[in-house]
Amino acid sequence: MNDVERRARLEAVVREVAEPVRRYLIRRVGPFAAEDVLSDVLLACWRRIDDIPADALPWAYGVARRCLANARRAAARREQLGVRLRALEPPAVAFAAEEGDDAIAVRAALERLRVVDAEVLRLWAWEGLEAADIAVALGITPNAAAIRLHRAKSRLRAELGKDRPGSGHVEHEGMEA
Amino acid sequence: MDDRDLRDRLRAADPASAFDALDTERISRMIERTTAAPEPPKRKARGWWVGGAGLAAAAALAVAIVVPLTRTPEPTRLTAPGGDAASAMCMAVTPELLAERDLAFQGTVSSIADGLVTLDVERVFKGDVAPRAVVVQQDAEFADFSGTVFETGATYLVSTVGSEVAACGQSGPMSSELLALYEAAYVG
Repeated sequence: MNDVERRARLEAVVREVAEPVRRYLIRRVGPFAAEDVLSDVLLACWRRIDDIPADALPWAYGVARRCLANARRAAARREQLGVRLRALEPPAVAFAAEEGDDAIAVRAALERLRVVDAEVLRLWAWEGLEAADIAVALGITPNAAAIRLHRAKSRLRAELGKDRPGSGHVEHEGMEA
Repeated sequence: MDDRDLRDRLRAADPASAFDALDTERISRMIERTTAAPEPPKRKARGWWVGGAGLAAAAALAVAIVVPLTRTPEPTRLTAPGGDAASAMCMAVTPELLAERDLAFQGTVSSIADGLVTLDVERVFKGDVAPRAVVVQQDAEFADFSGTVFETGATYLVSTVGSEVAACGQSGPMSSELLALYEAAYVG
């Protein structure tokens, strides 16, 4: 690619990935830190413009995952130095104006799962990825992603089952077509 | 609860659902800001050379050197440490031990040529690891003790001490056991 082609490719990639990657980051670190990390992700895309595959989004999620890990490490180092700048924890509450009890219970159940299980479920439900793209985003094999996703779903169902009496969610068993 | 119900419930709990989409003007500003950064390197100055052969006898680790890969005709190379494999002793591999490593990644061998193993890096657990790593292939004799002989097409988990690949089971072929140790060490 020459310089003009690279610039055009970057524009196309940013228009495709900026919004979904921003949401990916908001879900994991909240809206304020998400803006900073998104800049890092786009810069990484620019630096690696020759390596970006045709299906850029799952790859970009993988870049975002690594940028997020770097940001968390940097935040941990700052914290060790007694400097707390901007929180990099997952948002404790949703930002929706109105939210039902079930959404709170579901996020609480997600938090109780192992980190790897919760993450594969977020990628599946929130980022809307299937196993093959989850594999790209996590840097694992498609087979491993499919197995991990299957197990994580079972574990989340079990967790939600524990919550059922107070969850506000009503199962309509026997009513499915 | 079938998959669709589960996904719907998760989506209803999406913490990002209340945010408006970026408008085109903001996206244009992002593009301008991003491209204002220095030009990306043109297929050079990315990747790592991971080279060398030898084991630090006392530490029983250490087989390779990592230096920036510059894909120029004359890449910078560092001298590999020497060592005496026969005197090596290995510690048990634990998440705590792995957590002390400086770089850790998962990669699949795309080629082996002239004693150099090229891995496509698929997952970075720790450190600033480029998309590609090049490792000097180990002697089979040496690997019998503690190292790894790489094979084309196989996937490996690799960790390093400084610029040297950690041996003694801390790097090795992908397995559910080693992956579990890496995830415990780096993912949490």
